[in-house]
Amino acid sequence: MRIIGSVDSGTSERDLLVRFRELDPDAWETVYRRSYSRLVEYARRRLPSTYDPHDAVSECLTRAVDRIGDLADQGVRVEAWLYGILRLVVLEQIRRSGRQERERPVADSPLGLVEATNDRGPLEHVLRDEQVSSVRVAFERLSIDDQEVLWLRQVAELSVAEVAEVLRKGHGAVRQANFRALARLRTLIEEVDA
Amino acid sequence: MTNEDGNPADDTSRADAELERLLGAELRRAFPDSGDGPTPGQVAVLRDHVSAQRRRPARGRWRLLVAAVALLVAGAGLGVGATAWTGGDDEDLLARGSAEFTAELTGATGAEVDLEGAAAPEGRIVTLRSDTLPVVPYEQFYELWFLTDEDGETWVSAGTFHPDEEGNTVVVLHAAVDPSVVTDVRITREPRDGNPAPSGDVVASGPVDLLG
Repeated sequence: MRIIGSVDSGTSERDLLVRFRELDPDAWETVYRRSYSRLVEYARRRLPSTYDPHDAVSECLTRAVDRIGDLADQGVRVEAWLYGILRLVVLEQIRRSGRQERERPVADSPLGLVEATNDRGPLEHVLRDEQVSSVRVAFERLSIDDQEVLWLRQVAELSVAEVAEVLRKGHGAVRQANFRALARLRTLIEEVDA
Repeated sequence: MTNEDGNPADDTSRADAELERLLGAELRRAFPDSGDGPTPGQVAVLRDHVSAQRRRPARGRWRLLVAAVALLVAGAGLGVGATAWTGGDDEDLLARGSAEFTAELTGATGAEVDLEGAAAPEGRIVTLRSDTLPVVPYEQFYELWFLTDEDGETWVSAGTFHPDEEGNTVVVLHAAVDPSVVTDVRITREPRDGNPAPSGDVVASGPVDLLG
């Protein structure tokens, strides 16, 4: 995560949360910058194609400002609260569009090509790209719920407690959902590679 | 070795942890963080909005409080009709609702259903998710019910739905019901026979868990 502006790199998450709740613009900018790309990707993966994920994130932040009184210190990072608001924004758009699910072809993935690091040879690049492709294809075949819990827990790297806050589930339920989704992903990767 | 809770890890949890470590790394490699940040214009707009909100702490919050109180009054009984709402904050509330309850329904056949309920001026917005409800033939569908103990046991329907062809269910329903008087939530399998009464074929049920 990137820390910017006048917020020191040693600033604790708790201090940041306090300043965030006090509507300190520097604290908001810090959280906005460090979480922006992941929030956009979360929205992009779930929204109907007619809705701009950047607009969804802007809407999320606007609501967050207006609802700052709702933010409680529950021992999780501010991002968990933002993901929870963004999730509602996304669900509303899905509801309005009349679509319950969104299927995005892998070829239409907005994530772009994965850049291999320079310390591998051409063959390793090919193998690595194939593996990345398999994981993406398998991921797309998971249910929306499995994708969501894996995205939040593994890709966005939220803690179990933070995912539980976003999904409004118990910690045990999140752990089970995470491991069930991982097991299904492993099976699907094996099917894709077969 | 300990698990995330600090307890000794058994073979199963060690295997789970290893699976999570390996596949988690693969997922992050497959979906790398673009690192794109907001534009300077977006940051400036946010900072302005935060600063403006900081300068006017009372008015907007009081309006939301008034709206919340009105919502409680409006939702005190079942089948409450529409309430007039005006103003920007109220329109926000109308659009999103306010998280109010959850419920985890289970059934004898292994069905697991998660519900999330939000209070909104028009009633309750209920999001229902499951990947374990069996696919039903065209002649049947599922129906979500809130049971209350007011005036004897009353079943209030929140709407009908069916899973997609792969057995996944994600639906948003609306219910004119006050969750504080709900004793149980149930999903029944219904025939397309035009009879609005519950069939009694309950596939999943569970209590409401009020938030806060």
